[in-house]
Amino acid sequence: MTRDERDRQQEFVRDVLARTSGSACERAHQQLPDLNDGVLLGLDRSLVQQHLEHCASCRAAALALNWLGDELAGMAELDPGEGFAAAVVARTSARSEPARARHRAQVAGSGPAGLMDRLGRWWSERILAPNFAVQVAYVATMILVLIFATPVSPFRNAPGRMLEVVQAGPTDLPLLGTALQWTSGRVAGGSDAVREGMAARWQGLEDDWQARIGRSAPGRSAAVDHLEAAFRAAEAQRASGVTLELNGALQSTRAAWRAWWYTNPESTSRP
Amino acid sequence: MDPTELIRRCRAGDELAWEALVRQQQGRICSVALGYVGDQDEANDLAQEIFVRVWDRLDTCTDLEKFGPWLMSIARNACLDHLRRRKARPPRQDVPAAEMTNLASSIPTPEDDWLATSRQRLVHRALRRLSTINREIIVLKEIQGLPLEQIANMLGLPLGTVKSRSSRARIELARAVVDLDGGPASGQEAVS
Repeated sequence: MTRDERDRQQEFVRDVLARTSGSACERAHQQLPDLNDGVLLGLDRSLVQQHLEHCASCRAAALALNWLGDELAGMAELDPGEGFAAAVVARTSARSEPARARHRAQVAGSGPAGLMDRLGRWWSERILAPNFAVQVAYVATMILVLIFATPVSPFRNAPGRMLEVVQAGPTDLPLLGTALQWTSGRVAGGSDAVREGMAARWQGLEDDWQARIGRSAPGRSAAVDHLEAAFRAAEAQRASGVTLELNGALQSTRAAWRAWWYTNPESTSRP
Repeated sequence: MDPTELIRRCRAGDELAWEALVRQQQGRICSVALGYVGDQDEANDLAQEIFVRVWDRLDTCTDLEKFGPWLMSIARNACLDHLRRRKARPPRQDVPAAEMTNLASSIPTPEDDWLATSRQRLVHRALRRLSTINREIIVLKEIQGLPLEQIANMLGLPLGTVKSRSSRARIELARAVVDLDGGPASGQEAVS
């Protein structure tokens, strides 16, 4: 068969496919990885090989795929240069002392530092637990019941007595009334210095609050962007996109939390 | 050297062990970072960040036998964080990805000198054309040779999805290579 005849035949097949099933290249591309891995067998293998004989672009893709197999495996490691390890060690050695101390305390598990570290970790984990509020409310209720509602409790009559105090007013009770009068006198006669101190303290709290809000703003904004992207991906029914974006939202939320809680996100020192 | 013993010593504050661990793992981590970001300088900086993270979190590697997957997971998360930050701070002049690869092919950059061969350069240019998830699968499976189960765990995807995505990513990369270079070796025979 001459070259012209082959070209004419090929053109004929292309025309028929264009008017019927469409190009077979997409189907061939789907099977090329299996062909390359040697797991495509029987008729499927013959069909793809026959297609490759007549389709230059698929043949090029098959060659590239075969070539990539060896090439990619040879790229598993890259030499970053002699100075790389030294640069990493220089960066980490600056942080090594607190990290080592923390680790020693954790491993040793003894002494005040170790105990406080473990208590801190325990509390951090507890407070972030979803049912933390319910657990605290339950425990608080049990404590109140034990203190005020058990028959043997010395404070059994305390709620009733407190109600009487509220209804009667403080002046009817000699000891409490005197204490309250003394306290109100101190407050009324309080110096300007006390008021200024409280105002300064309040201003400090407000400044700190604003600073925390400012630091955590990029993280919060990024989290919102990720959530919006996740919704868009969900609308487009792209499950992997939703997973990725939700993961991004979680990471950004964590970054925002760290920025809010710690002055320097890399350290663990609170403002 | 056994990484498990090195990590134990690192935790005890042995800087020599840490340096040895960095030297042992730097090739893989730099390769992963380059696979994700596609730029040598950026990849080097990112690889340093990854090692700093590893240092900070050595205590959290509870199962020392699984240090490899743990390290790869930290590297992947750091790369994704980096890509997100880069996305949030776009370049001053927007240059489409396709034009960027053209620029890279016409103007020699330090990255071009650094990458050992023109073939690796071609692969990295082709990798830049893939979507993030497909690039990730190529980096983790084809370059790093991680098992599919581990990749599925890392990506949070079903095993079947990772398998099918892996095939798609490979053919997409092959097409990108052909587009960029007209095929790596036009004289060779296809798989027979």
